[in-house]
Amino acid sequence: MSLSAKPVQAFALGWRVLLALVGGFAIANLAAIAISQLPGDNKVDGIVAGMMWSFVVYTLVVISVFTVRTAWRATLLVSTLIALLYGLIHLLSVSEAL
Amino acid sequence: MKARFRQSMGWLHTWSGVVFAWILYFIFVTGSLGYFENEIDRWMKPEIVTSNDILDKQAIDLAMAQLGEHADDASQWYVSLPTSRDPYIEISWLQPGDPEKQVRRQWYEKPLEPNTGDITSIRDTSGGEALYRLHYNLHYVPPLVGYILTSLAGMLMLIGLVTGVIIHRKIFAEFFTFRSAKGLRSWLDIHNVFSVLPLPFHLMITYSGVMLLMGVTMSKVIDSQYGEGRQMHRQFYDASQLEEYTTLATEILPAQLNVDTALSDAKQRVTDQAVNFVGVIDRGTDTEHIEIWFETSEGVEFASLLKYRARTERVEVEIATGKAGQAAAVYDLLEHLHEGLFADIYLRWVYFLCGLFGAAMIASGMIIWLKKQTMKEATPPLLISLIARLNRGVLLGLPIAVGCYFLSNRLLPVEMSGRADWEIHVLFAAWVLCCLFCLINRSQNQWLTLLWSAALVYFVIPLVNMLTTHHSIINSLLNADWLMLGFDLSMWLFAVCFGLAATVVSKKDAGSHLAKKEPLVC
Repeated sequence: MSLSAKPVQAFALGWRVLLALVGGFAIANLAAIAISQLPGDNKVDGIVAGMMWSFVVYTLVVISVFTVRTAWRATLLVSTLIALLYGLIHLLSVSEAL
Repeated sequence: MKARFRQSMGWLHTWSGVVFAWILYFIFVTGSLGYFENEIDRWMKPEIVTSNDILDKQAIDLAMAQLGEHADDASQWYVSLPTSRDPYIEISWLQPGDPEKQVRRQWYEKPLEPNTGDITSIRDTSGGEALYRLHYNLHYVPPLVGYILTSLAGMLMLIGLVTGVIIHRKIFAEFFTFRSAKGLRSWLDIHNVFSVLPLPFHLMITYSGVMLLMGVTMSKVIDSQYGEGRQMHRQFYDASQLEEYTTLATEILPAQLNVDTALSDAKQRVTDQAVNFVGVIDRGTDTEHIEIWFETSEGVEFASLLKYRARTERVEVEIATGKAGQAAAVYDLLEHLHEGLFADIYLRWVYFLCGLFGAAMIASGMIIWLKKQTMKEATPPLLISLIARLNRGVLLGLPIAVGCYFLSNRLLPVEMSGRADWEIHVLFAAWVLCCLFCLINRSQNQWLTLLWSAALVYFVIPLVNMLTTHHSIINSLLNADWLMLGFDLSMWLFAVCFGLAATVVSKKDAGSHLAKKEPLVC
């Protein structure tokens, strides 16, 4: 996976960079929101915890995006994580409302 | 699989480091200088009269008289008592804004003359504070853009550190390897030394740095979970930083509550630390109270704050016991580790050196990348050779620029308008000039020229100080003005370091010409 002159490879690499930066940021935000919604009596502190963990999540996502074999799998990974976190946030907000 | 994994991590390590390398280098250098913010400030305000032997009571009487005269309408008053880091009395107050008189709401800080109690008039300077703030506001861009750029740089640095650990399987074995005079190999070894030894520091400083700006970068989380808008964010910040207090009754009657009574009570409760600040907060309102801050060099936690409040029967004292939330407590700890305010002078130097190691790690990483690029082809592409030349200007121009910043404090006319801003302009102008010099000048001796220039600038600083103020090194020694003396001697220490570096580079380059080896630096 080096910088290649071939347009397809260059596109795949650019796509991965975009996935890592933008997708990673989205996942970091969603993870922070999910963590802040975990049951606990100090809501504000939960948000602080979520925001603090978000940078660890961001780093892990970026590394994962560049670890998987193809750009296609990286796309799958990022979209699955986003979907899972959306689901989790929904579940948590439902259980909170109950 | 394993080889491929390491290869892709190597790619990520390279590019996450290279893309923002110059901004990161700037952040590390100016941030490291921030550990000496107060010391730099004292040097840049040579008019300040130091006083270590004044009694707290006397100092407070002088300060209260001045505050009453100049800041009667201010809601917050602070008095900073002489300490080893700031050996002078300083008053500060929050000036309320008044649109009619065109007065801006802002903090004023004024040092006092210990003998007369008058406000010392000092030159208009950016001081140590503006210098250290550069490392997250980047000065010429709007603050928000500065925070986002530094956060992005910090994230890339974090990724660079983690991938760096991944690609170095034998990280500790490699730490003890040094192959001198082997070109690229030597630079790799240097890079490893600067990275591995202070790795815990690098990880701590990078993560906590990104974390400190999380209110800006992760603001969407606050928006969705707490509330939108400036007001709500402010409220969130206050709520998240909530301190827990133990409240005790004191012997003081509400009518007797003033700074003196609070101070003597506080001194009985905390006997082993010196008082650093005294504050009168929310003056003239129901929540008016007095704060007594003790010196923070005793521990990582800022638990040494006492608040005195008048209640109906007695005055009550609130003793901070820590943050209400667990995450907030971790945040607090990391913030203090990042700022190192608790560090004494020795640990402060360790902090400073670790920060410079970080800058050296980034610089050597950049040099390795450039060497690899130039080795690929016989004649490197124009873009690469441009970056290589600019790189010299950026890396060595910054220390020169900081030196010029110090010089400008002594050499710009004292009555010049916008003087404080011009000091910062001088810093950036010097940096840009160094970069231009490297772009225009085509000789191979740029490293040497810049290293000798840096040595010269730092050598001259104490001399200019001697000529323009009465703080010559001899005077500082005689007056036991250790901060002034320490600053001047440190400048000479840097001059010697740059001189030594120049000598090493010139010897190596002379050798490489004879043996037709690659030059030491690219």
